[in-house]
Amino acid sequence: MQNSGVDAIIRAFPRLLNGLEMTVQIAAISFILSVLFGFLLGVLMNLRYKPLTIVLRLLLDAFRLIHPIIWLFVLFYGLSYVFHLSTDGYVISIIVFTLWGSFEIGDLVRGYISSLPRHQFESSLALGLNRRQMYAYILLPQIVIRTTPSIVNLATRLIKTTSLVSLIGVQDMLKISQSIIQVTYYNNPTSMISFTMYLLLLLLYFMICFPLSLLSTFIEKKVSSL
Amino acid sequence: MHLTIRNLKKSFHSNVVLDDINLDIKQGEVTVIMGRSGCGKSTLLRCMNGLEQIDAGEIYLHDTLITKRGSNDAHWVDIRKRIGMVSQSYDLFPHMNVLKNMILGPMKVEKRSKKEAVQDAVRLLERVGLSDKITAYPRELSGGQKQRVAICRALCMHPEIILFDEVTAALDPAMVREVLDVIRSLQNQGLTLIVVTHEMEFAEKVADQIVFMDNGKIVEISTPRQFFYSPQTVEARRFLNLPIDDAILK
Repeated sequence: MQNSGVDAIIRAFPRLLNGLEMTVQIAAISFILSVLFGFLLGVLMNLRYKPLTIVLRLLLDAFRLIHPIIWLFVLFYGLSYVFHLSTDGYVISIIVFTLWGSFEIGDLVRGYISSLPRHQFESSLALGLNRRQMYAYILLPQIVIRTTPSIVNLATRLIKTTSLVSLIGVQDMLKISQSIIQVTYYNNPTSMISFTMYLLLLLLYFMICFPLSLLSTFIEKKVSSL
Repeated sequence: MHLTIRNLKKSFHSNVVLDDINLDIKQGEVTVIMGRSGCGKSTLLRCMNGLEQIDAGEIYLHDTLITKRGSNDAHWVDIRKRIGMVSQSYDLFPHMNVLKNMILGPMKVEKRSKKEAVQDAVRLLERVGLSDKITAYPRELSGGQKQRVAICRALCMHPEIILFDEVTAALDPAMVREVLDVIRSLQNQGLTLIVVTHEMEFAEKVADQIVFMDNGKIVEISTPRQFFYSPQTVEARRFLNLPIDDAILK
């Protein structure tokens, strides 16, 4: 029991909480920005303005097909080597996850708008609504209702994927766990702290994501009856 | 003349859908447009409130030209306040209940107060016997009920003209009647009605004039009596399954 590393974890727990805060912060800020930009992108992709559609389509594929870790590295090193900007891992992480999330949500919104029956557009117009009102009162409310389950789902994926930011030196939950492990090993090479620590991480990630997953299922049930 | 259409032409790519349409519609009258599917009657209706852009010709509302080239959205918003439309697909908004569907236009387009809009909606729903459905969502209504609400929603905007685009085409026969009765009840209220329908009996009883279209052209404009009992053209006789005698073929 004395080798389990529990005591080391308890001692370092405040640091671990800082890491947890960092993880949640990056995920939360990226998520909120993603929702805002995602809806905007979704509407833009539906404007049927050819050059814009092509550019957005390319970017969409770039962010969905290329793994976020590559984007993190490219931006993190690229900005400092090429543009001689001092890059902050925290800012880069938020940029990358916001872009990734925005295009994911953008595509959801685009898909949903184009699947709405044509007569909804026409009956809005026939009623005398202008385009802005049509989006505000008719299209967006329905899109919000329909896409919410998938968007909440995206939030859990964001939280999980933020663990990658440890690779560009951001002190998130994973990075801090690893440094706690290293220090403990240095003092006690027979410690089992790796196992205990990762078990704890597993629980922590689960505790953040599980309620979101339940929420998503709950909303999905509500929505399907509409 | 309430609505005047002159030399209207409309094509989709190389396909001519409306070919030199001329039509006069008098205030307070019911005009029924008939013809086979694809003859252009729905497109003609959609040109009247700007859902389709016309290629050539003019449409006048009273004496005002409403189909000016390059007219913007705001122009059509003004026209659509005066020319309402109800169409075949149940076009109530699924995320709003009956009342909200009805007061949206009056409040957002005409900027009337909520109180006034609600009063109006309640009164209209009473008239069509749907007072108890005021908080129901469209998915909880039958097809006939949805169409009656859709008609009320158009009436909430106090239009001068209402266009009906095959409003009973997707309904069970049992429900056709309740919807047609509502349309009939609008007659003699000073409203001008333009109805695209396949319901012959309705057309015969209610129409002031019948417009018969074939292949993108207006072939015959006449009273119901004349149209149904002694149509003047081969196309109309074919449409009505009447014998084609030599006198007409001459």
